[in-house]
Amino acid sequence: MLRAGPLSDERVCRLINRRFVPFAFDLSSRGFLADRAGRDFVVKARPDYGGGSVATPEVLLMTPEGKVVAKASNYASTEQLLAVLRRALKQNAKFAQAAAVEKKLTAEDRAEYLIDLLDDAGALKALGKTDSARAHYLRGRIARWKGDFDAMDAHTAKVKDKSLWDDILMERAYRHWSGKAYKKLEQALASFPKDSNRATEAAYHHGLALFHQDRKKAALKVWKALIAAHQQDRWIYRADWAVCASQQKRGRGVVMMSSGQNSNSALGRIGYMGRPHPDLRRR
Amino acid sequence: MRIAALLFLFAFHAQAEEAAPAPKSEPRLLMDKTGLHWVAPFDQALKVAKESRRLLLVKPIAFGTGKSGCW
Repeated sequence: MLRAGPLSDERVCRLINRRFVPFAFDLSSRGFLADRAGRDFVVKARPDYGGGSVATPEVLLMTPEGKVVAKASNYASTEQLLAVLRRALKQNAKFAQAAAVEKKLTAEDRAEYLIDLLDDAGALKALGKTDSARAHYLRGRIARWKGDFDAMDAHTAKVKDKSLWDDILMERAYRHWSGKAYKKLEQALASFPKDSNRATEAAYHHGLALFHQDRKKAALKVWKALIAAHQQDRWIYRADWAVCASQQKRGRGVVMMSSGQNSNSALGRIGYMGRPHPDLRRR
Repeated sequence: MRIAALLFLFAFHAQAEEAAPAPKSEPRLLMDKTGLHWVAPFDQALKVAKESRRLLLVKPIAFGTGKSGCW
């Protein structure tokens, strides 16, 4: 659930990688990800996780000394998890100091670093008047995250580097996604280069474009082909959740669930439960 | 209320700890491809957190983990 949800979000991943040490483990000693030392550390702080019956555990933010300083629900949205991460860093500033290497960066690398920390205004300031393809592209991305698509177009129009062409195509497609222009989104992504590093992101959104035009079968076909043809990444996880969610019977009291034993999840995943897929909501 | 009841039904029944040592988790956790830089096993994660003065982000899993990387 988390991996297909907030952990599949670029901004969440970037902040965690920059300022946290992520670790996951199975509470059961028989589990594939069992880790006795990790279990002992967590159960000492959260004895309720050491019992015989444990409800879905939360994400815990802990000091190396074993104190839990913040927590987030396993079913948190991207926005909710981001808020918890930001607040934890603000309230525990001694764990958020810049590393020595982070103080010696070029303008573009410093902008990327500040984007990691969700400081988009600082990133723009760091870029200053830098007139490079990467700088214009970064300005375009920041504008897109803010929902300022006219500014995004203006910045990306200055990028002449053809190696960024597919990135810009994807960035521009977000205007259609944001504006619910699903036919245009479908058209924008129909011929997206298959060898692009953003091919899975494009195919996922192509599926969404079809889904929101009430072409659910076509969307499922796109998502299943995407999952079958590519190595796993965050968009594959999100597509797998979409495959499961769009086949679930919805209604009051119905909880989405993939047991891992049935064929709902193309990846055989466990635990798409408790929260509707945010991208499939009627918008 | 009904959702809560269903969630309870799916609640994890933790297995009793066994004498056998836990399997090493480093390559297994790295099967995840979200882009997160997971650190494992836990001793290594703790060492990195102490040395770099960072908070640990810990996700205990209670629904099971499988060889296909499920969780």
